[in-house]
Amino acid sequence: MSNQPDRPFAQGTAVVSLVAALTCAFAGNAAASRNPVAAAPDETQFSARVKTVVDQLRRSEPTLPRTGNIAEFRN
Amino acid sequence: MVERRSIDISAAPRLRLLVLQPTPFCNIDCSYCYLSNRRSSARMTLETFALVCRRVFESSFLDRRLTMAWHGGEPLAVPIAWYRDAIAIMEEQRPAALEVTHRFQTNGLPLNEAWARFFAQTGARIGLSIDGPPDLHDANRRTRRGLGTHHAAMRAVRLLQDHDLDFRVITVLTEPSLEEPDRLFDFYVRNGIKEVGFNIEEIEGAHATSSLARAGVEAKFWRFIRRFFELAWRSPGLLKVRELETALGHLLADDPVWDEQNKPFAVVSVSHDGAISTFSPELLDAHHPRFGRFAFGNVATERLCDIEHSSLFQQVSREIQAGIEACERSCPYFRWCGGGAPANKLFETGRFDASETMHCRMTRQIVLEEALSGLEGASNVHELNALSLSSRLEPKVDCMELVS
Repeated sequence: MSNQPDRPFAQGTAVVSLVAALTCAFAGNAAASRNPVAAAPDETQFSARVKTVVDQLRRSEPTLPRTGNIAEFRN
Repeated sequence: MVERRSIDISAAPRLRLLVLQPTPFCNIDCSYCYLSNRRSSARMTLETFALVCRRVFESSFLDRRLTMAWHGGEPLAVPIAWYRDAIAIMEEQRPAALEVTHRFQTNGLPLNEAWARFFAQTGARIGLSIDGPPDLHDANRRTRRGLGTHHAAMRAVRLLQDHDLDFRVITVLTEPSLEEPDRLFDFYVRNGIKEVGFNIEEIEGAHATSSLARAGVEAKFWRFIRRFFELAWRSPGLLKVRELETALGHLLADDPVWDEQNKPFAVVSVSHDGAISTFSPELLDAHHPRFGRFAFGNVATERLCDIEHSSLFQQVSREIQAGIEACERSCPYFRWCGGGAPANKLFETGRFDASETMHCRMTRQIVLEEALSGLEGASNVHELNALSLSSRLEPKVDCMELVS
C-alpha cells in the first residue's frame, strides 16, 4: 500500500484505459462459456473439461499448486 | 474424468477458524444484515474469553495454526484496551507450538490512528466492508439515522494505506451492483484496493429476503461474474479477486474439495456470552423453529468434545451429512464444492439436508463455470504466461472472510 494519498488515483488513471482496451480482447472467450441457469450440465461434461484444461496446464506449468481443496468460510 | 470420492464429515476434525463475537453491537444498520441483536451493547467479559482460550487450547481438535476472527457485530466497537488484555490472556495460555493469527472484519467507521497502530503491532489481518462507489455503498450501508457511511469507510481505506497496512475489501453484491462490474473494478483500482471478495445478499437469519432472489437475477449475476473475471484475468497483479483465486485453486486441487462449514469443529464460533456453535458461523445468532438456538454448549460448562454428545448437535450433524450426500448424488460441481454452506441451506429451504440453493448456484456453480471458462480461454502456454497464472495461484493459508 502507498503512503502517498494521491497514488491510488494515479493508478486509477492508468487502469481506466486498460479496462477499456481489454473489453474487446476478451469478448470472444467469454461467449464460449455456458449458462447453468438455463441448462444444467452433467458431471461428466464439467469433469472432462476440468481434466482437459488442468492436464494441459500442468504440462506447461508443473509447479502449479495442487492443494486448494478446502472451501473456507467467507461470509 | 476426474476421480470422485465421498466426503466423510466424521473424519477427524481440525479446528482452523475460531469466530469470536466480542459484542453483538454494530454501530451501523445495514439493510441486508443477518444479525438480529445488533443493537445490544453486551460485551464478552475477559473471564469468558479466558474460558474460550482454555476450551480451545485443551481441545484435541486443535491444529498447529488457528485464526481468531473477531466478528459478529462491529468488533471495533469494543475498546482497544479490551483486546490488549484479551491477547495477553490468550498468550498466557497459548501452546508454544500454536500459531495464532487475528482477523478483524470491520465497517471501518471506528478506525483511527490507535487502531492502525494496534493492527500493526499485532499483525492482525484486516477486512473492510465496502460495497463500491458511494451510491451502491450508501444504498444499504447506513447509520441508524439513515445516513450513508461511504465517506467514513473510505477514510478508513486511506488510514490503512497511510500506515502501510494490507487489507482486503468485502463487497456485498445486491441486484443494482450486478449492473456495474466495470465501475466496481475501476473503483477498487482507483482507490488502491488490491484484494476484493464478493459476498452476495443472502437470505439468512434476520434478513429473510434478497434482491438476488428475484426472477432473472441469476442471469445478471452470471454476466457480472463473467465480466469481472475478464477484467481480472486481463490485468494480473492489479486486483486479486477472492472468488476467482479460490475457484482456480479448487479446479487445480488433486483431492476433492471439502467445505469447512460441513465438518464439525473445523470452524468454532463463540458468542459474547460464551455460547459455542460450529458448522456455519451464522448459526450462532440464529433461531429456528425446529432446532431453537444453535448453541451446542457454553464455555463455562462444556469442553468442545462434550458438544459431540449433545442431542441437538447430533441431530444437526446428521441432517448436514444428509445434505452433503444429497449434493453428492445430484450436483455435477460437488467435487469442487464439498456440499455447500449449511446455514444457507437452512435459511433458504428450512432444512440442512437440502442440496441446491441460490447461494450455491451463485457463489459456487457460476463462479466455477466462469473460472473454468477463463482457463479454457487461456489454453496455450504463451497466453498463460502472459496472464501470470503462477503468481495468481500462490497457495494461500487462509482466504476466509467475514462481513461486518
